[in-house]
Amino acid sequence: MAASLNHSLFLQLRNEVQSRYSLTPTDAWLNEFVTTTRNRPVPLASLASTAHFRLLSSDFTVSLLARGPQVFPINVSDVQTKDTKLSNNIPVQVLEIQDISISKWSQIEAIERVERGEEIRGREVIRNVPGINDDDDVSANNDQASANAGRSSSRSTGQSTSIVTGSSKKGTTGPHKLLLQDAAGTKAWAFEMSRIEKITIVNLNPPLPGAREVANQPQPEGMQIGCKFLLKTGTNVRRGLIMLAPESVAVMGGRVEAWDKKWREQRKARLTQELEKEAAG
Amino acid sequence: MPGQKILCVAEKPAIAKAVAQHLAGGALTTRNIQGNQYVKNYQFTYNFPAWGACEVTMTSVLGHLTGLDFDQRYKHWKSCPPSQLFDAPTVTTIETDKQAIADNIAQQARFSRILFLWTDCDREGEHIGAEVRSQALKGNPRIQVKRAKFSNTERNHVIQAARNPIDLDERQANAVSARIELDLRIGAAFTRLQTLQLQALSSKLENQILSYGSCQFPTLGFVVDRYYRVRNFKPEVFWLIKVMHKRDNIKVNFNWKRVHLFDRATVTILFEQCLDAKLAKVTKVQRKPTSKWRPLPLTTVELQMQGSRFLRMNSNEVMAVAEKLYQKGFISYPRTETDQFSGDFDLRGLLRRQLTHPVWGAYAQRLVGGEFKQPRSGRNNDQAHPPIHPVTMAAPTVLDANEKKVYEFVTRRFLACCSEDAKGEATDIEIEWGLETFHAHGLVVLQKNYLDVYVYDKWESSQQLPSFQLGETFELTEANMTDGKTTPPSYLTEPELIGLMDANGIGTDATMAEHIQKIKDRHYVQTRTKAASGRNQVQEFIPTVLGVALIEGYDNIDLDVSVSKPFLRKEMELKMKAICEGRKTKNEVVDESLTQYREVFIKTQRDIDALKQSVTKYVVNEGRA
Repeated sequence: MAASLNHSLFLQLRNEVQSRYSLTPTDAWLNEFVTTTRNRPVPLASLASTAHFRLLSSDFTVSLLARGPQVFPINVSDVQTKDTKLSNNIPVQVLEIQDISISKWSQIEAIERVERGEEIRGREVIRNVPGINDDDDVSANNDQASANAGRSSSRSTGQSTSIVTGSSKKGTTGPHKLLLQDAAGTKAWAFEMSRIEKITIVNLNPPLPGAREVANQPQPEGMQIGCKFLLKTGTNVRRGLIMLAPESVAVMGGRVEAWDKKWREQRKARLTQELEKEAAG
Repeated sequence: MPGQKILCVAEKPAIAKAVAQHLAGGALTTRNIQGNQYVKNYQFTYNFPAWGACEVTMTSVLGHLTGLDFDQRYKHWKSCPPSQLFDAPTVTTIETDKQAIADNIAQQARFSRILFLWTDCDREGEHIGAEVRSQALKGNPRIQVKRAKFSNTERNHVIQAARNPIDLDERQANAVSARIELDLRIGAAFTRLQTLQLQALSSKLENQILSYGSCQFPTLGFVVDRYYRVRNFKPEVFWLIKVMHKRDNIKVNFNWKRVHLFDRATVTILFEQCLDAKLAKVTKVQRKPTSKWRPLPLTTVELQMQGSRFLRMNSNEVMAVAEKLYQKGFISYPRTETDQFSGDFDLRGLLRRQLTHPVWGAYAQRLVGGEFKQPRSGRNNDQAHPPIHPVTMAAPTVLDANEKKVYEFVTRRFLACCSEDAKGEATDIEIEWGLETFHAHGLVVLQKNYLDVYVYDKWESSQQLPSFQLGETFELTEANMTDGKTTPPSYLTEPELIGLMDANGIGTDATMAEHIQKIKDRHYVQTRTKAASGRNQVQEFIPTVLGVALIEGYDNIDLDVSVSKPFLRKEMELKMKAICEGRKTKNEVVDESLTQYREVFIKTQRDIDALKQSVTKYVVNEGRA
């Protein structure tokens, strides 16, 4: 039997992935991995690295062991618990990202601009279509000050916030609120307490109407849904909200392509819906 | 005196008169010309270094001398399908009221050896110069042609220009004729199509020309775009933490570094975290000198923007008045993109001319007396004209109300440019409370400097901040979690519209105001005075149902780029520049642009129902489906 022949390799690999990456895959996942990559002998370290890479684009609720200390405590989302700390490293995946520093409306406006293939630099409207985009970097930032002058509280108007997020190339800077999920499938909200550079939403240009569906679509910059974090021991949780800071979370990267695609397709509709709900409430 | 004969031609009578007076030095004969009451011929003698003592006739045109129109057979609106106008033959015409002026030039040229052009030194002026030249050649095919390079009608400047003739810039003249041809063909084709198709939809449109212009529509597009942003806006609630500390009887409000967040639960948790911390700690106390920069030298776009913001005039009026002030010799040429003075520019000389002004003479004295500063330099130089500046002192008594306002603005701006920045001291105090950061900012203005004369800028001391020590901890007097609501953007104001047109290449500094006027005249937009206080009373633009209908109609046509967007026109504007720089010929540009717009035209014609539906929806049914 292949599995028993490789049993020691199997155990070695599991230990390696565990110790190097703090991830414990299920036997089933690791078995599958070993059988599909067994073709030629490779050093253990590179095998572990490949396993790690695969795990990052997997669904943690399927690929990781959902037992033991590596999942959220049961009361993680309990708002009655004022202040607690995670007592273990916990690998999680991102199911949702929201920038709560800008209004939903200006986020919708920014998405629509990208849909129209436009980008705003200062006062200039730019056609953001592959092939037409001229790259002269005329920064209109100087004008922006005067464009904003005369508005009293600049950030509370829908207008000025959308200037900040107007560009499709620059991602959001947050703070963000994220929905995280552990291997057991437990979900909990997290807040970006101090800036973590890798957490950013970048609006993606839709394929041009009529253009062929390109197989090699450029990967979106910024964070994608299914991205993996390792929450470190000692991470603060207040009233059920996980407080993220650069020192308490390692962003491992990765994505689950199908989730990300769906999330992007539905983002505008979701924002619109929430806005309507808010208006009605 | 036998000498040679020279014919000088300016763009407007006022310039001809001013130049003639400076060169003639008094011995001047003025003659009327037959058939036009505005244009005069001034005769005098002048000794040009290049040509020796000459008998000079100085005359002028009234702006463009010729026009471009379609051949007679295509002039009637129903004479041909509008699409034919893309290649219908055209003729250069002289309007009947300008025939006398053209004849005068041909007549005078007959006896002259040299034609010396004094048209304005910009693209239009170069083209007008070329028009004058072709008239002169009719009278004298061998006439030699030169032009004067000048940007104001101050005496020394004019004499310098007279002594240093240069050649006419054919490229600039060609760029203008390309633009004229494109505007004619594209404008006429779309205007006829729109008007013929849409007028019939409603008696409300019966007598209205639904004009199209490749600048007009993007201009209208900006207004409609903002209108929709205002109308579609949805307010949202946000939450924030407000803290106040009272010390030495001064209430200091600290602002939250996160400003506000659109998530109540998060703010509640953060606020609780703060409250748990009890004491706030001072993490930064910084006092540092700060300054408010004096403005850059004045360009046309800036004059129009600031004029419509501060002078209670619209940009079109501001430009008309500036033009008059220029013709009267009070200010320099008001169409310029340059925002830097060259090093050898005699700024002090210009300042000295303002010493006797009753209002700012004393301020000018301060500058001349030692406070003078070389102006800041911007990044633009059109290589044709300096920034707009006062040339001679105009006593308030010789100006009418609007002239006074514009002259005052130009002069105060110039004085401000030559002044020291305003100086102050800024205090920044940052406190940490829990894990949140808050800050207070204080400003003490120490020296107003340029602000003393440039009354349009505001920079005022804030309340005095009490003293805080770095590292000290204290209990805040007051802390609250509050909420607020986002507010919609405001309708587009005139300065904003000009800024958008400028940034997006719609029109030139010389024509922007006209395009804005045009969309008002066509009843595509209305303006109203935005509620504001004091000097700052600006016009805001709201589209009419017709304006909305046209833009939405075009946006619904399946075009690669809607004509309501600035992109096509911007491309055309860049091509004009290419002609000026010798990278493209006039014919190449005309062909390329016509091909582009012809395609848009064909699609528009095919999808004309989209435009009709939109007009029916908004104009006929007044918005009811």
